[in-house]
Amino acid sequence: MAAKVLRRSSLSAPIRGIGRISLPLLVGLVTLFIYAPILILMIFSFNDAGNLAWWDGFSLKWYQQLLAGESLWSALQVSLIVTSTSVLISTVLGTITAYALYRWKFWGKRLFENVLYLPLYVPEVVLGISLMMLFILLKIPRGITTMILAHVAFTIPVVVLVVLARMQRVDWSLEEAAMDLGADELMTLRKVTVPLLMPGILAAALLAFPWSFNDFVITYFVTGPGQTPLSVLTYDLVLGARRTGAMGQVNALGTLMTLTTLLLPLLGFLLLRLRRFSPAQFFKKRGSLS
Amino acid sequence: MINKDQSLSVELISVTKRYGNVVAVDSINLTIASGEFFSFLGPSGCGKTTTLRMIAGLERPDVGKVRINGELVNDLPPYERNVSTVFQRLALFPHMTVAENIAFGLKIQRQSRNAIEAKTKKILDLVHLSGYESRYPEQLSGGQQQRVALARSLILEPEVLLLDEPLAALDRKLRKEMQIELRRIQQEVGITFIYVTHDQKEALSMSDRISVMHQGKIIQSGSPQEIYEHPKTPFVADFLGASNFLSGLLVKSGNGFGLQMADGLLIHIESRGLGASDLNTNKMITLRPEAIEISLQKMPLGAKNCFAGVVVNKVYLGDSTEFEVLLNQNERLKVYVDGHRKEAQLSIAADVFVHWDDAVCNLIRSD
Amino acid sequence: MRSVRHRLGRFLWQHPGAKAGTALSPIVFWIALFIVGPLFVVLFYSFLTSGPFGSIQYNPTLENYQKTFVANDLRTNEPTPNWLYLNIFGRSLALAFVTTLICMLLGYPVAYWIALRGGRYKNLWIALFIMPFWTSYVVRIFAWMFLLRDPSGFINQLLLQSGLIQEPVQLLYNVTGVLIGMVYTYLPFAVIPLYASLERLDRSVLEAASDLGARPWQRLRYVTLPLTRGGIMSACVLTFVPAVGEYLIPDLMGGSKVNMIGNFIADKFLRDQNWTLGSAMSVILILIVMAILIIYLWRGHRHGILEGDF
Repeated sequence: MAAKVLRRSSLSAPIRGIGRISLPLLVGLVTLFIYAPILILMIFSFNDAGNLAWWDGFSLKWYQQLLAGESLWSALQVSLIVTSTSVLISTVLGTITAYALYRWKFWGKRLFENVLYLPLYVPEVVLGISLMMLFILLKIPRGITTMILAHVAFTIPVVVLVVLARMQRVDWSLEEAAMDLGADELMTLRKVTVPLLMPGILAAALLAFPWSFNDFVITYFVTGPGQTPLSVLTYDLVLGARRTGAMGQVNALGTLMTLTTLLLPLLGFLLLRLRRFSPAQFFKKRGSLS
Repeated sequence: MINKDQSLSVELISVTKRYGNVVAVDSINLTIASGEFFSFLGPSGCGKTTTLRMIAGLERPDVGKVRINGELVNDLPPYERNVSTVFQRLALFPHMTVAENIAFGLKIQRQSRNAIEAKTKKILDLVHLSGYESRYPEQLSGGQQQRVALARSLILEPEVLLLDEPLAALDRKLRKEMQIELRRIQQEVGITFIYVTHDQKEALSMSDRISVMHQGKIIQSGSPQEIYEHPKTPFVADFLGASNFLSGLLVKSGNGFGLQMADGLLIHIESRGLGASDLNTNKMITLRPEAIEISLQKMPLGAKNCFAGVVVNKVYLGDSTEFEVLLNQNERLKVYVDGHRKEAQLSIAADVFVHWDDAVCNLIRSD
Repeated sequence: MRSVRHRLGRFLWQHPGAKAGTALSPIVFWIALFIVGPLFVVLFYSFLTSGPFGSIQYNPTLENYQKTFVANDLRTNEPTPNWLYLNIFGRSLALAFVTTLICMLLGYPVAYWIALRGGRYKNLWIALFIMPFWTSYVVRIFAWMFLLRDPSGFINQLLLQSGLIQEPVQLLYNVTGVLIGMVYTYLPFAVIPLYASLERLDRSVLEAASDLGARPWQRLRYVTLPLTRGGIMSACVLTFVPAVGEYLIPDLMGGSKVNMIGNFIADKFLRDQNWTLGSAMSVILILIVMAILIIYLWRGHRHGILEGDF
């Protein structure tokens, strides 16, 4: 305890006066900067006046208008189909890829790795437009299929990175132990490897889901008529609101989307908590024992 | 469970393994008898773990043959070999309880629930872990985890149990305990144990036979006593504990042979195995520090080698004291003296005599 | 059945290469077709000629690249630098640079505070800064538009009603608006790697510096900053690279007055139907990004700062 007090004081004591307050103050302001816009948007979604950002009485009319419209529901449907399909595919493919990258040596590995991460640094506009060109040239009608193809392509590297991070903390002699005890490769995969990687795979899917669900730029270029996903619908509504100044409905939509997307990782977090076993904790504990 | 057949258990025939340009294991030939407690001893990177992993099937040899009970296993994956490994980091499945860990191999074999339960019970008794079935590995102490790893392998009744420095992570006291425990278990089940370690004391105290490895090669194989007392090379002598190295010209001296050193000292050595053709060649002997005695007076009789010297350094080791004695202004000898002897009280700069029998000089055959 | 599996298992064990090949073939196929393929299409088109009404003529040319830098003066017909296009490039780079700078200046203290003073709530704090990642990008930008509009935006209303200003201030549809949007979007990209490197920092080194007489600023200057250089460089790259290719923020918050390369490229495709020029611009944008990454990797290797970095 004494050591802890000492450490704290020796790290913070030299900063006195203004320095001492300014750092927490700055952190507070930055936090405000990050959350204020979202919070104000949420508050004003209940504002009776839709075009003025000044409080004019509580109202649910924007929500009623929004939910009454058919476009929202069909957009939600499109988004959910695209995102769940592509996240499923990219989680499976990405996990295999991460495993191969981490565990195996193969010809052309460096090149493969560099190409794999391209979607992370090639500007989204370029990625979206190039995919659009490809689909036009191949005469693939743009719609749900093309969106899924594109979403898998740009969520795979995210999955790979998250699963790779998990792999670094896995004790790989466990795999050898399983084989040594008589489990063949498939059995080892099922009984040992997948359970050990599960937290990482779930985390990857949890990150890829909003990544895909919220993507606008790439989606915008590969979507087709009549199959507008939620992010593109939001964009259209924003453009409309910019023109007319009527912001109420977008506020309401934004509030709903933010709440659901923030609840999702929370749900995932709780799910992970509920799973009895976490290898991370296991190794942490072992580390602290020695 | 007990395999008393004294046939060969593991055979390695010019086995070689390379990683890129590095030769990890360099054409090793070795036969390990059934029921033996066999150790590979060597510094880290000497290839001992790689050798073990090739027996287990976790690595494939580039050249050579691996035979287990006469059967060529080069092309068999680990899960088709009747050997089992206790890993250095134990590799207990963190998502399974002790009982589930132990039963893993049997479950893979689809044995009946009753059989699994009975065998698990029996093996838990053997390793003294009854009552811990439903714990998770993280809830066990280091020594207990060790026992689980051992039980998990033993339950499969392998022909050979491979142990890859399983005690390295334990503290000294626990390691001692586990060494005795391992030896007891090995004698009880009677299967071949192949043990890899870099700890010479561990190897010496547990093994029936030891192979000392260095840079991918087996330097010397033999019983612990043989290897400790008659090392074939300076490396083996050095690796198995402190040693003095003395070299000189082999000369005739009285009835036997002597080593004439450059500074004029003449050391009597046993004539065993030496002939006239060896005369006037350069030879080296190794001399264990505990084989040398130290005294204030010149020994009247007995020891064939006796020289005057000065204590130049002294290190207190608790149960003994290490002296460094300078002979003839030139040669430094390391000498261990038991802590209870009065010679242990000698101080630096004391004039002393050192003496030893010619039988304790170990001649390095060739270099 | 058992024997097929048995034989397959043995085959895979004996041929590790086959294992990798089988497992990776679907993903290699996917990446080749939907990542590499499209980029090659862009590269290919950048060397073609655009005809009228969006048609493409298959005669190879460097004209599209030339147009980016050089224009023919309308009066003298002399080649002059194409300031219209060069300005867009310059603006994109400048905006990305300023965004990165502001993100560092805000992000470093925040990451420092969380990593070293966050105590047991460290993870909660950092989660708080990552959370915006999970919400919709379009909605977040809209939230800022709602705040910044004039005269009816929240900030202008607040200032007007409180009497601090008499005339509404223009905050949106200009550089200020775009910068606010970009800093807001990319701040988490900066905070995470900075936090990661500060968190790894050995505290006893900081204590030693203080113990040896370094004042807080000296400690920061000579110890903390050099030790977290890897994190700073990662943070800069992670901010700058997506910022330079930004499309949506200038589109919505720039009011077509603060166009960046991304908008220009999109316009070439969506409005002008000039695929070849748009492709050439895309290739140049990719080259800019690659150049930054190569410098980063090269310097990183030289200084050994990539080890375990984000």
